[in-house]
Amino acid sequence: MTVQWFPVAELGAIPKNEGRKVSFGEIEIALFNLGEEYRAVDNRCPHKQGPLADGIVSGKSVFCPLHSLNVSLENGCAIRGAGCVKVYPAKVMGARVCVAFYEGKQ
Amino acid sequence: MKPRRLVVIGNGMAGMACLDEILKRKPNFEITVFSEEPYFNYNRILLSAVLAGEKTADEIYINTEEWYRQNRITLHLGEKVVEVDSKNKTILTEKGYSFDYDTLLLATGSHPFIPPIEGTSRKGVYVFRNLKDTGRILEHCKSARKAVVIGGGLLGLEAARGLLNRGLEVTVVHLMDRLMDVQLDAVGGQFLRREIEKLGIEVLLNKNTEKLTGGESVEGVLFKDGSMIPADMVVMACGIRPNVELARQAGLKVNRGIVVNDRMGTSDPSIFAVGECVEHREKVYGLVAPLYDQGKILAATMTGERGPVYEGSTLATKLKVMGIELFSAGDFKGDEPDKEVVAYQDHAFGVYKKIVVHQERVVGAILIGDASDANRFLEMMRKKEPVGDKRHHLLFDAPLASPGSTTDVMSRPDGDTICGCIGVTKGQIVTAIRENNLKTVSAVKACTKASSGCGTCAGLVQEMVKAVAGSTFEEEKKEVLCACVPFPKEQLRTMIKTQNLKSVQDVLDIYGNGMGCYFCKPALSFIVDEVHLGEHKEDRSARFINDRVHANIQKDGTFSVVPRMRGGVTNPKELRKIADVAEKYKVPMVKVTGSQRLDLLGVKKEDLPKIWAELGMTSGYAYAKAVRMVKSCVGTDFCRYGTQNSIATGIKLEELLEGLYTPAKVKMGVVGCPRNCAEATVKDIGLVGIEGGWQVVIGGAAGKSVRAADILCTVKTTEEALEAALLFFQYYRENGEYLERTYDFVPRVGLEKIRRETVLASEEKKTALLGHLEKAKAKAVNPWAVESEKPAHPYQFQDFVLPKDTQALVFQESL
Ligand SMILES: Cc1cc2nc3c(=O)[nH]c(=O)nc-3n(C[C@H](O)[C@H](O)[C@H](O)COP(=O)(O)OP(=O)(O)OC[C@H]3O[C@@H](n4cnc5c(N)ncnc54)[C@H](O)[C@@H]3O)c2cc1C
Ligand code: HEM
Ligand code: SF4
Ligand code: FES
Repeated sequence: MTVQWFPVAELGAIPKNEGRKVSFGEIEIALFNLGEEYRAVDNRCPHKQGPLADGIVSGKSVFCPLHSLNVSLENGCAIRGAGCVKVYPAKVMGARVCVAFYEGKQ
Repeated sequence: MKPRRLVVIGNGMAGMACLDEILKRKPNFEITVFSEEPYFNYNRILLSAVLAGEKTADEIYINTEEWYRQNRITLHLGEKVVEVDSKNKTILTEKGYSFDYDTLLLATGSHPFIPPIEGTSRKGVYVFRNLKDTGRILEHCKSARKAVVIGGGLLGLEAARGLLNRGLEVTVVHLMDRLMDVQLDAVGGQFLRREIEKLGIEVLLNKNTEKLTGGESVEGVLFKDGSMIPADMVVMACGIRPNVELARQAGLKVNRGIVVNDRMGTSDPSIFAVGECVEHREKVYGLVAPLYDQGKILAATMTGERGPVYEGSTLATKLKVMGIELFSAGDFKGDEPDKEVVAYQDHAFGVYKKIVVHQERVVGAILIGDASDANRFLEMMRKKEPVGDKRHHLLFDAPLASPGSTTDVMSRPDGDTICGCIGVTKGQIVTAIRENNLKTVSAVKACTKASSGCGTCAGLVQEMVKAVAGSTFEEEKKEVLCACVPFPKEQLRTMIKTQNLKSVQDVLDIYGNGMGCYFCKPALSFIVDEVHLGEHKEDRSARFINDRVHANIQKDGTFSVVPRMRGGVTNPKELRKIADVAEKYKVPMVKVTGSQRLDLLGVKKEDLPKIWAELGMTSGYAYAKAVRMVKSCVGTDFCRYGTQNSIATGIKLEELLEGLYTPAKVKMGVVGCPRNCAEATVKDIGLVGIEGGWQVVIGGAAGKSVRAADILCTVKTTEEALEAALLFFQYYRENGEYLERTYDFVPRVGLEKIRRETVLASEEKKTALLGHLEKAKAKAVNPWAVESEKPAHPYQFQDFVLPKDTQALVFQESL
């Protein structure tokens, strides 16, 4: 199939174990640098739409900055339930981090 | 068989301890107790702790109503016995009731001696003997400022310490040339005096009181030498006199106390006596240990056993004044020629140890500054064993025989006394733990009474339960930081310090799961920062978003900006800048906060550095677990009630502490008088101006919890007040648990201990605390100034926005 990869940030623009908000039209995602890989999910926490990009990273999950919901960055779901967010494929290409802006696996 | 009627007069420590012993022997008695005091039996020793605020009155009861009920004891509370008719074997109470007895037990204790001087009946003059006295003194402490304690003995010093804790200025006056002259030699007296003065209590020796001056209320103390000191409270602690009136009227043989024989019998075969009211072999006692000894013998006598007789008790005293260790026992003088003295003095550390040896045996001891060995010496005295080889290391315990061996309590002989107050031996405790399967210290306390006196042996008891109960021992659970780093918080601090771990990730890698979470990452960030006094390796990703961008995240993901306005004071120029910035960046709301400063709400993350640069103000740290602000009232600058310059002091305090991280947020307040307009008494740290000084208060809160702050100290100058605030601040930084506000910290650690380790600490300790603070402060920055120029990371404040027309890189692949 055809995948549209959008270059969103230079490699190194996001510090390790931090996230940043990336907006593209109506879409707003949270892109994380986990060291070995990048991960992207919808930037709105399933609880009360908290900005996950500003959360604290823990392994391959993030804690929402508003009320500390723990959301997996692998499948987008809250570790103890309470809903899921969309996951977007992300990968490094050359000197750039790219994201595929379409609905990934839930 | 018809039960014999046992009537007990006096519901105090001796009477009930003796009853306890009698009940153990399951006698055929019908027991009636008369108590002048309207309370169940309580631990009189701990009145000092109640006065000092270390215990509440509820916590010192020994026996509850249930105990009396279960043991079928008829208790008449608030009923004084006024007559004993020993011929007809009846007693008569104040309320006019009479009761017959077969056996009578007098346990009437003693009463405070009030010297025959003028003015002792004025208001504000107290004795310190029972719960009622204590309650009255505590009530008056709320308004009193200057107390004089007459009498520098055990009781007087404990009272003085209590009053000091309650925020009063305290002077102890003593007739003799040294404090506690009954228990100390001249050298010991000097050591003690220095310790007492260090606490902040004034000591006047060789002072003979002429009268207590004043009108209806006491106003001062006048001495025979013509000098005088002011006082609005006077506590008389001039000794005690046995209560012997009943016995005398009953025709018993009475000297200083009720005369008893070696089986605790009086001159009437049906009447016995026990406790402070008795005189045995010409000795009258004023401590609890002898009355437990007596109680045991008497219980045996009364239930018909013919066991050992009472031969008198070895006297040992421990001063229960927080911050001072003092122990004195037996013949501590040793000035007769056939006695030898082994002594050690260290003036810098305030340690004095003296052992008196007579014919190869220890007969007396004084320990000041370090009384940890008290029970060892007491034991040697009780056993009267020859000193022998121990002479080589008499003052300090024997060096360990081999590295593997310990000096722990389990290696002591069974006969060793563990609880000196009640006289419980190691063997008794071990047996109790084994036979009853006890698992906790409180269970041992309930069963053997060990540690139910002054409580200093609780640590030993705990060791014993641990050793005997083994794996079933139940300890209070020590909380670990979190599941990611499962170590107690205190231990983590030590590990981080000793292993010089400088970053959160290092700690997580070595001691944790390598990942951490929203809770332990910020907690460890604080700890590495605090332990290394700002010289740690900062890792922004371990901080909460607020600390990464120095602003407070709002529910919609925007941020708020609160510039510092020290003491709540601003000026037109600042206000104009704030107004300009608010307009330029379309800040949706500007609000006056509860902390006397302005908040710009709804700011976008990327605008933060620009706003800071344009404001040119310092960060208010409104987003951090850090020093927030100092609120101040208008004080002497403008207010007609002001007694202190609260504005200038507030600004100063804020300048001294701003920029420092703390376990949880720290809000402060400074007010010019007790009207407290800036609410300093519900702040983490508050300074309250009073006429001629400041009260420094700590641990207040007016948030989810509301708690009135405790008084740390009362001082004369602004410099002293600021220093006290700084000492507490740093102590809290070093000992507070992450997210533990001062209103939890202060009650957890205890006001007494906090005082001891801050304002009452030695000069070296204080200098060390202030030194740490200074070092950390030197590392503190205004993050707004630094990061508006050069952010910690080039993309610290940046989000990414893809223009609508961004071209995708298209690949063919299977996902
Ligand atoms: C503040 C304080 C601290 C102390 N600290 C220590 C310490 O650290 N170590 C230590 O060993 N000792 C200490 N003591 C001393 C210790 O408390 C006493 O030795 C002990 O309480 C004496 O017990 P008792 O039963 O003989 O007298 P009390 O406990 O005084 O009991 C006598 C009771 O009899 C009642 N009574 C008297 N006459 C009558 C009557 N006619 N009718 C009915 N009831 C009557 C009294 O009201 C009283 O309740 C301290 C004492 C005080 C006040
Ligand atoms: C003459 C002496 C005093 C002066 C000059 C003074 C001055 C002020 C001023 C200027 C304010 C701010 C008003 C505002 O924000 O609108 C204020 C508020 C206040 N004052 Fe006073 N005051 C005085 C005495 C007192 C006293 C005696 C009390 C309390 C017993 C008191 C309690 C308060 C309170 C509760 C507030 C409101 C605080 C707040 O808004 O958070 N004031 N005072
Ligand atoms: S606390 Fe006292 S000094 Fe300060 S403003 Fe209020 S009344 Fe005036
Ligand atoms: S909005 Fe994320 S936890 Fe509440």
